[in-house]
Amino acid sequence: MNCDTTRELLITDYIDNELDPKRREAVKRHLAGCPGCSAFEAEVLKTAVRPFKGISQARPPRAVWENIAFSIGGAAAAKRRVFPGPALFTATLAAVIIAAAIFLNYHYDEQRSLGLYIEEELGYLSSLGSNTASQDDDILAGMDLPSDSLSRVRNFSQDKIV
Amino acid sequence: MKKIPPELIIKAADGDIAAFEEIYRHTSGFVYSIALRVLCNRPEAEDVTQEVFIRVYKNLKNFAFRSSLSTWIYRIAMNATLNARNRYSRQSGNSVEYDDEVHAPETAPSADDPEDVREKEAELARLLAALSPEHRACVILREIEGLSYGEMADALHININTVRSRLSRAREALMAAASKRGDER
Repeated sequence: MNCDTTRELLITDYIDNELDPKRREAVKRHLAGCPGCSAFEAEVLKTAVRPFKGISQARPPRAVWENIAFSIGGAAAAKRRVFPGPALFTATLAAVIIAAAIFLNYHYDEQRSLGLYIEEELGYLSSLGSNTASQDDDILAGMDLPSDSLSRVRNFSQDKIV
Repeated sequence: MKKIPPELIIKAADGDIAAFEEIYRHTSGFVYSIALRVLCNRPEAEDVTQEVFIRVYKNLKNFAFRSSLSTWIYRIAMNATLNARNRYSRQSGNSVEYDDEVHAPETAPSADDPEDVREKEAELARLLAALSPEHRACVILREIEGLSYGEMADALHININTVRSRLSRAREALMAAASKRGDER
């Protein structure tokens, strides 16, 4: 092995342990008898290899991961909005049904309490009427109401209750 | 290179952010290191790291397990870094000078004396300044990341003999720069 080939191997494969054992042995034999190539090896190690030893890996700041997580998290959320899963669909349906039930129940109660109120008023008026028909007529005459008011109130309240 | 379990990759590909963060923890040091030491600019290195991992996440479903995930990420990182370097030098219109100031506070905690670490980093900065971005990338992959020639070829997407010739030229340039500094003293 001559000096050119030796130095070519020295600067790469030999110092990086990429040579097969047979060629590595050949380089070693050459170095043992060649001060020039030995000096060359020492120079490569001193200026191009050893200065990098003990240099640690740099680390990205935490903010880099936070930005990445925000970007990919946003993408994942967008995907979920476009294609809602079965759980989300079921939850939405349940919410709509509950809202409709509350709304209908509220209107039923409102109508029912109005009916009860009219019924009470009617009961009161009837109790007055049951004492004396003339009294009833006098009261109504005293209130200056049209003569058919009572029957209209009675009919109205019965319609509503029914 | 660190081996990433296939189950973790599958989970991350299915949108598991915690699994993806685990992959990030395994590989982000490499990606950021390469970008920082080749670009010599901290905000650019952070942008490249971010770009690389967003690209990895989006393409994880297409990862076919033909190579290791680390190699795949390293390749994406090298492409993104060298593209950013070209973009950056086109914008600035000249070559980027290596700035040792960007490194010292960013490295992993070390048991060494902080003064020694700073000196080492300053020396590293001087050495890398003598190299082209491609040669710089080769030296970093070999000397700092400890990749084999085969792994370097995969990461750089080049022939193994091209790895040899780039590494040889890079070391010759480092020797020449050291000799020049010796002459100047």
